[in-house]
Amino acid sequence: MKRDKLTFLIAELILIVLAAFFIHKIFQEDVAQKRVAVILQNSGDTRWEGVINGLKQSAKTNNLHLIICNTDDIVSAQDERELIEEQLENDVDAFILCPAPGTDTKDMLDWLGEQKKPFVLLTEDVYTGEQPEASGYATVKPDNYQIGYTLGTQLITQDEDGLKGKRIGVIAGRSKTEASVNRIQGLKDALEKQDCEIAWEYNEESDTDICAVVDAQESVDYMVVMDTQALDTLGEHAENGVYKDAKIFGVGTSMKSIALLDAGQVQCLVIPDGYGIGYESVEEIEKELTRTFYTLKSHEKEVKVIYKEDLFSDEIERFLYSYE
Amino acid sequence: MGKLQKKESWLQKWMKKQGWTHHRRFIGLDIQSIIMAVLTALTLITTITIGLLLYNRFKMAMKQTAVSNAESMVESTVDKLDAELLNVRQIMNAVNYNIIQENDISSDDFNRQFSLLYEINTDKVQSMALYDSNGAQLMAEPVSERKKGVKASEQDWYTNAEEEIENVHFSLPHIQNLFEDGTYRYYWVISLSRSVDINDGEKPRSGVLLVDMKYSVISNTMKRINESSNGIYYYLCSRDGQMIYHPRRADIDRGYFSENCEMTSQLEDGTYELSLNGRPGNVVVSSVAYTGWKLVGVIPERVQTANINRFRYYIITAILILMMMLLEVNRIISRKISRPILRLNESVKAYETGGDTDIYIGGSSEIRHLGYSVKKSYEQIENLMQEIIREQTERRKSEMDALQSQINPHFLYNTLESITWMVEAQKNKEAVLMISELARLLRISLSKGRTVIRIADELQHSRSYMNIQLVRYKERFQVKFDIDEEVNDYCTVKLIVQPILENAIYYGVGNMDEDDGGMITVSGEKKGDDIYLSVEDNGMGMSEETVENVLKDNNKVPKHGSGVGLINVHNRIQLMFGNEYGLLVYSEPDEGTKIVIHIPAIPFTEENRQQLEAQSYRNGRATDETR
Repeated sequence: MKRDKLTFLIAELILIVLAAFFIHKIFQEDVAQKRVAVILQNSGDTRWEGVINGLKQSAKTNNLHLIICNTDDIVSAQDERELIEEQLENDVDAFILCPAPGTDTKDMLDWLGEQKKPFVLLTEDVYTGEQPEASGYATVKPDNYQIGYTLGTQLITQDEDGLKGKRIGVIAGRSKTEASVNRIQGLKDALEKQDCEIAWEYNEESDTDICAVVDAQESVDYMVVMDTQALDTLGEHAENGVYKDAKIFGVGTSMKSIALLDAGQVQCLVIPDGYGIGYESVEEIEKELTRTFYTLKSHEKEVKVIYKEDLFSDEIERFLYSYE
Repeated sequence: MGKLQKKESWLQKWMKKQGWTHHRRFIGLDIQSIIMAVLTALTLITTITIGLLLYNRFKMAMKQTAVSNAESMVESTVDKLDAELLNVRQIMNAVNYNIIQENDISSDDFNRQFSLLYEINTDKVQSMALYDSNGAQLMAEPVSERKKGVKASEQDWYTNAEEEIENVHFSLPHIQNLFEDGTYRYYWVISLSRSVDINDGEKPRSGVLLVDMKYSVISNTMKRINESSNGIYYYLCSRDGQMIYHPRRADIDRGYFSENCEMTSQLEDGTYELSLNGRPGNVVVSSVAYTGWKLVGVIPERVQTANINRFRYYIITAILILMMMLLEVNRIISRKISRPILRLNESVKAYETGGDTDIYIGGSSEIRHLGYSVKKSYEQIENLMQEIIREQTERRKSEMDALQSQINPHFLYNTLESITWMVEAQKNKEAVLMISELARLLRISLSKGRTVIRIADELQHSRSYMNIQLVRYKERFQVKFDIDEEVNDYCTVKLIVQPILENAIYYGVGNMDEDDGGMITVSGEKKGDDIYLSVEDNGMGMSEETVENVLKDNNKVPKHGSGVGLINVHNRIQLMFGNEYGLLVYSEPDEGTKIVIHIPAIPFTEENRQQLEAQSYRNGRATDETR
């Protein structure tokens, strides 16, 4: 073949390849939004207000289609797996999950990993036992141990006698969850050297009237409520003066929790940054979906400690804006 | 320097590897490649330029459209906000002028009208309240329990109204912190407050009127325009840069996003090109009436580039496809133009290598003309070659003829007969002279095979010949050599005088008696750059017709003797020196004949001799150079 003919053919070939590449780029622009399913415990609960706002805003910013699954209580890994399978049939590209209680959840998540769908755990890690260890999955959550520890230190500083001879009741979220175990552990570690007594401990169960359970317990000086749902319920119940001798310290992520603080039913509130947790979890998923060699990373979000007198400050108002 | 040399060496190596060892490589490209390369370069430049111009035009249009849309949106939104805020101000004015100033606060009318006005405007107003100068609540709608421990007089809206009593004050959005309604909810409001005069029985007093506008009145409008904005976003800030509404306010508070609203709040109404988060973009700023708030529309660069990216790909793809097609068209055009030239070139090459002698004629008129010219040139060259060969053949034949004339058997026989006679007659001295002259004659005739000899040798040859002939003709005529010495050392063609002498004897003085005084005079002289040798006899001469034909190769003049006549000599001189040289014939019947040999004066050197014999001096070209 003559050299000029060969040169011509090579030039034409290069142009065809380049044209094909740019045509591909044109059609690539039409790629549909990636779909991300969000599975939360009791998705309609007020405690998710900030988280869902963060999820939505981040999805909008990162051009993702968010599917927030309508859920009730997820009491086991099997419940969660059924929800995941339902979403897999809907061909979602990734998941943001609040892990179900129990040790089976890790196996279930291993199974999800085999489906080649990236996922990020939200608000807490997988429960691995009474001495929890990090699961290794990407998790966007507050430092749950630190939440418990912070509540303990706040009790100490707020009590005039440094908790001497005081009795404390502890209400946590569901048992066999990383959040509950670590928060209780943090609290216990903070109070370890104090002359106080944890009179009772209770883990919330589904379909159980928390108020009735607490009413049945012996009276205490302080109640530490480490679950938003329980705090909102008990706080509202406290309005009737039933716990007038007990001061409530708790973890709250809803406007109601803040209103209860404002109303004086709750004395101290630790608020994880739900908006930030939601925002960063979606951002993490977006990076995984759009970058070839990206590896999902875990994030720990800060918590705020607020008292009634801190409310309506600019800083807290700005923080509360995300709950709107 | 050494480094440079090293670099050049590397470059040379690379070029060598690429096969571009020399710039001749480019010169060596065929015409098709050159045309193709030029057309391709033009195509590239043209298509890329058009593409860039189109792209730039589209980009500008996109930007203008985006800015224009944002300006329209800002303008209509400001109008809407103006109307909303005016509405709330009018509510406040109605409360102040129609209810508070017209009624005693303790009257039923006051309460009724206050409640009625609130009820009518619950879509915009969260609450209305009237406080006295101590911050005590006098009236409030809706009727709610006041929050314990909250002092209205310590809140900003109250103090602002107290400080500037003549104005209506707009607060920033904030959580209402006055009432408890038992719903565990907070309400985001914008508080309008002003100082009012209250009729309380007989004594008037001052107070503060508060109208808490629902924040949703503003935020819903802003949300609506942001939801349909396709990348462009709008926010509202106060005149001192504090945020009133931003679609990403929570992100800004957490550092996920940043907005320089302090800077934009200082801008006058208009459209600006600014650096937004380190990237260029456009902002549209417009003020909301009375409040001094600024509505800002932000058009980030990525909004413009996102829309333009696809167009960029379209442009590039179109350019690539256009280039592919033009490359093919260029190839066809270049082939069309170059094919006749290449075929002509091929036919010339074939001709040069002795193959096909048919020169290609085809293509455009210019190429056809070129083909014809080349063909004609080759035909002329062919003819000239034939002519040269013919001349060479003729010259050799002439030389052979001349040589043969010297060894004419008859001449030799007579000469040897004469020598024999002389020996027998004991005329040894004359016999020796005769033999010597014959030997000299033969030696010069041969001249080692050379064609060009010195004039002196040629004349010596003539003398030898005449000495022999004088013996043979028993000296019935005389010979006289009148030669200028200076002509001796110039070049001449050998054996040009002897045939003329032979003719002079044969036709002139050979048949004359001794008493008739036959005389042959050989003379030689140099005139200018030429040499003239002449042989003159006083024989019977020639007619005018004979003179005219004597140098022409026809049969009008009979040839005698050795057969080597004047034509032979004339031709050989012209073959050697050119047509301007040769013989000149002068003759008068019964008077005699004079033959003049005209040759150029070329000094006899070995170099000149060789050049003459190599025929490089033909047609007189080298004559001047050699001189």
